[in-house]
Amino acid sequence: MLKTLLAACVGCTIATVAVAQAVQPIAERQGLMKAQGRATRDANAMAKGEAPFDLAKAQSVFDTYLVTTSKFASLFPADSKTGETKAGPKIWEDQAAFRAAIAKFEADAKAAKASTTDLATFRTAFGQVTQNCNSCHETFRLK
Amino acid sequence: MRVRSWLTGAAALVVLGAAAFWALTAPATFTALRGRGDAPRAGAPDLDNGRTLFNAGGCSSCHARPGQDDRTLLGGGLELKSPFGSFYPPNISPDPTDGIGGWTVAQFIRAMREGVSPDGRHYYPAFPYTTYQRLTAADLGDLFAYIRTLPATPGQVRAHDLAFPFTVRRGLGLWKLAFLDGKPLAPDAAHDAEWNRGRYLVEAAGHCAECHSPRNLAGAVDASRRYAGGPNPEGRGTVPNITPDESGIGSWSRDDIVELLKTGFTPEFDSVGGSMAAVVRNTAQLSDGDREAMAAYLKSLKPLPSAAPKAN
Repeated sequence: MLKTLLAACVGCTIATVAVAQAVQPIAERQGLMKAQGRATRDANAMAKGEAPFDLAKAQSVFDTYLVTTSKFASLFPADSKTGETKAGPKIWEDQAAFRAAIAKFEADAKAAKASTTDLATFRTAFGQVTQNCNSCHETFRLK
Repeated sequence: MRVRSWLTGAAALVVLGAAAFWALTAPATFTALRGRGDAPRAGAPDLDNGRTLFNAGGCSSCHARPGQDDRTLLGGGLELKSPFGSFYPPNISPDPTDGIGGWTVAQFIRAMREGVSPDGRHYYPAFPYTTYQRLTAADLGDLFAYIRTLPATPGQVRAHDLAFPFTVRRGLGLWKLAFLDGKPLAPDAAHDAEWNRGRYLVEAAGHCAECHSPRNLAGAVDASRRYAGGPNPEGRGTVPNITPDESGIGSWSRDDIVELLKTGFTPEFDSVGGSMAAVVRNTAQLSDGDREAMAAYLKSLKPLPSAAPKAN
């Protein structure tokens, strides 16, 4: 009886740890994406002329993207496929392609930051780097 | 004696039933019951209008050859998962043997409106003729002419991979009698020209409802919850509610919808993914006026609570 109870307790603990492990990277990667969304919204306002252009702020947008690219690949462990996530199965089916997409985004964000010197160059760079959003989400996210 | 007459009666019923099924499911029966609709206009087709309909109708989302970026290579072959099995949309490039290069405009219009191939077989409603049936014949003629200007892409796609009884195409005749009404979209005088244009783009071409609505057991769009979102027909996850409810896009402005159709960004600057990414590649090609019209129509939909299941 005691043994069964103990076994059940151990089982519960393992299950809890497993769930906790899956939830944490999901929350972290969603936080990074939300931060990107906010940066992109501000950048879009500047590119459209709805907000005054600020060179330091424009370049910091690309820094926000680079924070994501430095952490993103490690935030999709095998136990985070399901739950409150829209991550698509391709992330795990084709890890090489997923990492390549992150690497491309990183290279594009670095190039965008380097080439941004005024509003005109910012518009071009921002337009190019945000192509990554659509292409990556198409393949690696459910919607 | 009594047993024999009973048996004769039962046999007669089976024969009658089979005959009724055969008659009711014939593509010609559907045409006879629903009529042919308007005819295309004479004279030179408007290729610009055809291109607009090609983009609004999202032909390339399903028919472009997968694994390459050219939206005009309509060789087909993308796998479309569904609860009934996997569909492989065919080659609709102007290739004369593998595509639709040998078709007449009348055959094209019949395919788009009645879901019937030139050789008289029913198409599965994964091909959204339930939406395309509302396109005018003039627009269908222009669309056909535009597709014929695109590159011929040789090669046939593999057969659909479906489970029985969905392998029996003939049964689709009954499905059509239940779910394909054959009615054109008459302009609504209670609304302005922009709204009517938006409705036409959304309801006759864009087939937004085909994914953004839950479906009934027969696989038809649930009319009472049209646009309320639902489970993702392609697998895990959900499709969002696009009615102006708080569980849908009630907080979105008209400009927010226009922006999404142009760039793929939501008001939170999330970029839409999955199959919606391909939809945006099409709607990005439309005119600002057409995107505005679609937004005006979507904002006018009846707000409905989300039909998507809560859990992923």
